[in-house]
Amino acid sequence: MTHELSPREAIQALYQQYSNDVYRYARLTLGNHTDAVDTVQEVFFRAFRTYDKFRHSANEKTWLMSIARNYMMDLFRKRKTERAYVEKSQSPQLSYESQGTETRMELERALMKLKPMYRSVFVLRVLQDMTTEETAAALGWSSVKVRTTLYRANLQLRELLGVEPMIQAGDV
Amino acid sequence: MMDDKKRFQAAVEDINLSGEESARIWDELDERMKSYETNHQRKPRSRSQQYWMTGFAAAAAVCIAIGGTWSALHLSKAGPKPVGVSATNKVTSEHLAVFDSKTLDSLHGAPLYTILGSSDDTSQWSTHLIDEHANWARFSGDGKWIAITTDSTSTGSTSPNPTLWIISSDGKQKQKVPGLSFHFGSWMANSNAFVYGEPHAHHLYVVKPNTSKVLFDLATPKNAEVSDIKFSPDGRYAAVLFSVDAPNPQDAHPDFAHWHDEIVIRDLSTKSQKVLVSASSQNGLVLGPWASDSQSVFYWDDPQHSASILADGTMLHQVDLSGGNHAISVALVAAQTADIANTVVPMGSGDAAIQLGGGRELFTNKSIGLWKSGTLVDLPKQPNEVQLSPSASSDGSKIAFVSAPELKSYPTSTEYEAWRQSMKLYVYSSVSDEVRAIDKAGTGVRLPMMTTDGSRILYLKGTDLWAIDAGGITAPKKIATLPAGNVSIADYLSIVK
Repeated sequence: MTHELSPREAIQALYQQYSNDVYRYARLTLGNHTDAVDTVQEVFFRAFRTYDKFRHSANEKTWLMSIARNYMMDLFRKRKTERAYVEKSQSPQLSYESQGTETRMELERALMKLKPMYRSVFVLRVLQDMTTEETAAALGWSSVKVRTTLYRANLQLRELLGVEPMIQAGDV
Repeated sequence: MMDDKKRFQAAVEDINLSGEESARIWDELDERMKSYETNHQRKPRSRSQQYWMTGFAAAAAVCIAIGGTWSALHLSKAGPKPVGVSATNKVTSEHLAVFDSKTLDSLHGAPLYTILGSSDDTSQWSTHLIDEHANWARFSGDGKWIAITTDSTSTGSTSPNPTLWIISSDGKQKQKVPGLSFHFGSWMANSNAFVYGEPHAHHLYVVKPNTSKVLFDLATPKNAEVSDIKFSPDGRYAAVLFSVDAPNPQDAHPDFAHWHDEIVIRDLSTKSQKVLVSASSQNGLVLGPWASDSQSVFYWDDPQHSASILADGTMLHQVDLSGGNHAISVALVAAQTADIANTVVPMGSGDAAIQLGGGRELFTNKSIGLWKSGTLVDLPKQPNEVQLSPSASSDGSKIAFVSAPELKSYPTSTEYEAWRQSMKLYVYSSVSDEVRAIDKAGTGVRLPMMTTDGSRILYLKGTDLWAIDAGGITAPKKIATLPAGNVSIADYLSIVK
């Protein structure tokens, strides 16, 4: 019921609930921790500024992911010409405690080889387990585009990782 | 056996912010939100309103008394008086480097063209495709060469690995500079020598067309990396940005505690170096351009080396060779965008035209300031108007820019594009302190570029490059049409022949 709170209180509630989802999406899309952290702050700040316009019938997570997507597209555009791209690009910074580290490193390396649009759709639809409709809303795409792009992303990832498809027929 | 989808979902499940990091982000965010609320509940007077209330009060009173208006006084239409036409009739040589890509989100560079011509004959311009995957470009001081970087990730590798090339401006001679990866670089003034550094550079290289690279003479402290270099226009000095005690990204727990930046001036003739500016611990600096008289350099604060803070603009300073430091105003950091070519444009002796206003949203709170003799004044401006992308004649007598009404709320992408299409071209004359609308350029004008003698303005409109006389007297002439559709300026050089 965040819409009954003040905008700042509502953003705090959203931050507690979704900051890790936004971070994971940014980290797996941008490929580095520093940019992902900046993205988290920027997404919630943009959400705060436009909170009055947020249609509360919409899914909050989808709304935040669409803000994240727009912000990261801005970053991609800027990086085309800015030397900051060179400065800030780095190997993914990983923590080495978890058992899934090797898998994660392998996955992150493979994701960085995909086009940004393939990466986004794969992260949201498969890794974040959002529905096709939620993913479409977050990316501003049609459901058909989500399915076809995910299919192509999956083909490339399968080739890169040498594994069976990570999506089943029913997923797309 | 768990299928691959579940295995990968499980593997990324613990990609989370640490509690400490999450709290830090929230604290910063909360501060930003409080600040935003404060600024929007009790709106301060806009810069133009302050201007109206102070320095221009007398002029406004006179204007009102005689039945005129503020805009009549300061925003005259192009009439018979040609304020922009150069009295000296010098001929200039123009060099543009433009990116032209089909999509906006390409990470792997874009087609780069050079467009070369002369201000006195708009029929003799030539366009040259320099590279299909360029992502950075700078002309040498004489305009004969261009240093570019291309992205070697376009064939599928992952990490960016920009490759440096030295190419003749017409694209006929091309030299690949061997090395690991380009990070930053700058042409030396009055020379065809290009000095550049690689990531985490402890030393720099210098390369000239058709020669091999050699080490550039520089004393780098043991605990420092070189992050940028800019040469003074007179060729005597180099401003060098050092990152001191920078964290090693290879460490499991990089140490950020002592990381800070310094600007050092190196006298190229005596080889002496001195620290001009030193940021406090954990803070950075961004090196801007030299002033035209080579006696000072502009720079921005880079609090906490944060790209997010930097993106909203930070304090711009001018520091002279003796260390005298002026904090000018909050300004966006120099970075080419689709709508601003440069945010600090040196002119006159130590003066500059400056893109003012914090916040990354270009549709609000943006104006152009004239930094002259250590004082900042706004260009005349209507209330609720946004001014973007200053470009000036070398003597500072004329400043071209584009302008549109401010948007009061966050636009949709359609509204934003419509707003961009409403941009019009204006020229400010410091002689008459008057802004003149260049109506013949029409609307949808982007990235105006004033020739060094102030006689003409080049500008983008859609996919076309146009030229018009700075007085707006004659009809604009189309110079070039770019094929793909998303055009932005990589570099612009105007020199007197």
